[in-house]
Amino acid sequence: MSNTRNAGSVNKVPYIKELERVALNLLRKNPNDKERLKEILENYATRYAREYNIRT
Amino acid sequence: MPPDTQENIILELENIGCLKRLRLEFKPGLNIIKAPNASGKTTIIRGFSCMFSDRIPPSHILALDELNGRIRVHYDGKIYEKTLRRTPSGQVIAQGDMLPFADPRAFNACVALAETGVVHKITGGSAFFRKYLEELSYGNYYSALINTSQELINEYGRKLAGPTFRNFEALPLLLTELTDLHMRREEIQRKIEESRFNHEAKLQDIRNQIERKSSVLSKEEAQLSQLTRNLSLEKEKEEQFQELLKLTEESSEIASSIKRGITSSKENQERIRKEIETQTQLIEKLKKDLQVLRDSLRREEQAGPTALEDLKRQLENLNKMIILKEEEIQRAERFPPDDPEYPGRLVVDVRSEILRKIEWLEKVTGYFQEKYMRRMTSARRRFNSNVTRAFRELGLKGFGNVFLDQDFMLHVMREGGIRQPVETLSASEKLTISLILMLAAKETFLPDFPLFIVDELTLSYDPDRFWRIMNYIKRRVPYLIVTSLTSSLTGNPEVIHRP
Repeated sequence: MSNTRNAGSVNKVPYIKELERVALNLLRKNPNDKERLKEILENYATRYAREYNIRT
Repeated sequence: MPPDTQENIILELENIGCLKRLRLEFKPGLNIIKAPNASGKTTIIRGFSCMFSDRIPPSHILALDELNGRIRVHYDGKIYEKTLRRTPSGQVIAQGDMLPFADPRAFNACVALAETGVVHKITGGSAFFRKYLEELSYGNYYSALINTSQELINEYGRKLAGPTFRNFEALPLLLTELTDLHMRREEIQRKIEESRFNHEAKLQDIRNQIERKSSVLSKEEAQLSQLTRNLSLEKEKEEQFQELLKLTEESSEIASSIKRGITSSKENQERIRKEIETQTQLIEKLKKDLQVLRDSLRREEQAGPTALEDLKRQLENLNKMIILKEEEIQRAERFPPDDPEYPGRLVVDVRSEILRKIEWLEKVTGYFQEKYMRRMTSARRRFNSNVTRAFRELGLKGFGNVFLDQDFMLHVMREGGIRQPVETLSASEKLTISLILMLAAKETFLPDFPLFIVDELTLSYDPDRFWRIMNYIKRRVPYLIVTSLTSSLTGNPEVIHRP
């Protein structure tokens, strides 16, 4: 199954399922760990901001 | 869901709240914990709750005057035990097992305490249930993701609004200003060249005039010399005629001829003298003119090109301004090397990277918003469906429909379709709705959770209606535990079982 599939929105979001899995696991273990959640999102955004840069 | 287990649950408490030691046994069906006031009914519920949910802090469970406590549950042939320990600093630490069906959400959906959860919310007159359903459906996880992502987007946005990026935004203007300075410099340089050329041309023109005048003067002087020589010749000629005339007889024709020669020579001399005079005047004038031109040349050479100094000053100032502008542009283009975040990196790169991060985070936020909406809409529909079914099956008089609207606000519709605000319901009706909402929440989100606990809600309740609801719940939950006040003033809590 493609990992770029999302909930039906127009834009494809790469590895969003992976991000969702990691983030939900974190929230299940520690719902108040906002710093770690922010870190996960930041890493994701940084990674794809750079990949996007390479592609363009 | 009908009870499908025949196992009893044994609960043992040691140093929990006001209870030193207690053992209770719950059987499938309805279990009524009967005890007088202040004998530990709520303590039992709290103690039991901490074996399947972490919502009650351990410090609220351990007896105030004890250092250690214990909760033990016998369930499905196994023993689950949790110990509570008070540290020297006064903190209470809980360690041990959780029941296999433990779920933190169960405290909100399956434990009806008067002072917490849905009961507290409804009796307090609140009609907003978004948070409640968010927690039960895990929509709160998506909500946390959305909020955190949005926070990051805002942080990046604030970063882009910072001084470095603001300077960078001014870069097109700075570059335009620099181009303008370069153009002004070129204009000044052109003016300097023009001034030098004009000056040189002017000098050359004067030199040419001097040369021409000098040439004319030489010619005129030569002409004057010739005239002077001619005058001398005429004088000599006259003298020779005078000598001849002395030697010739006065009345002779020759003498007349000589006399005419003398007269002619004198006339010639006179003419030549006049010509010499004119020529001398002309030469004088030429000399004066030449002197004027030479003076003019000297002055022009000394003065140099027109306004050159002023132009040079302007050029110097422009050069300085260009250097400053270029430095300003360099500062706007690059983070300083000692910048803790982006030392020496180009602002344009960092800026576009941040913009792309925002772009990705917006995509992520959009994805999670969509998931959140779908999850919450589905949760609300299933929840409403279970609420409607409970009211329909219970056949409670006075209620038409109870549901959450799309903003998760609770609507209580009376028979006949009239909406009644939650805060205007009677105490008994509020409790009825609370219990049905909790049961619907349990059936929607925790269908396999085997317990439903109701703590001392009978005080302001119509007993017939209360037991009707309890019997309805009993048919749907394996173990229903209800606390109830006894008329006696003393005695330990005891469990009365009704299958």
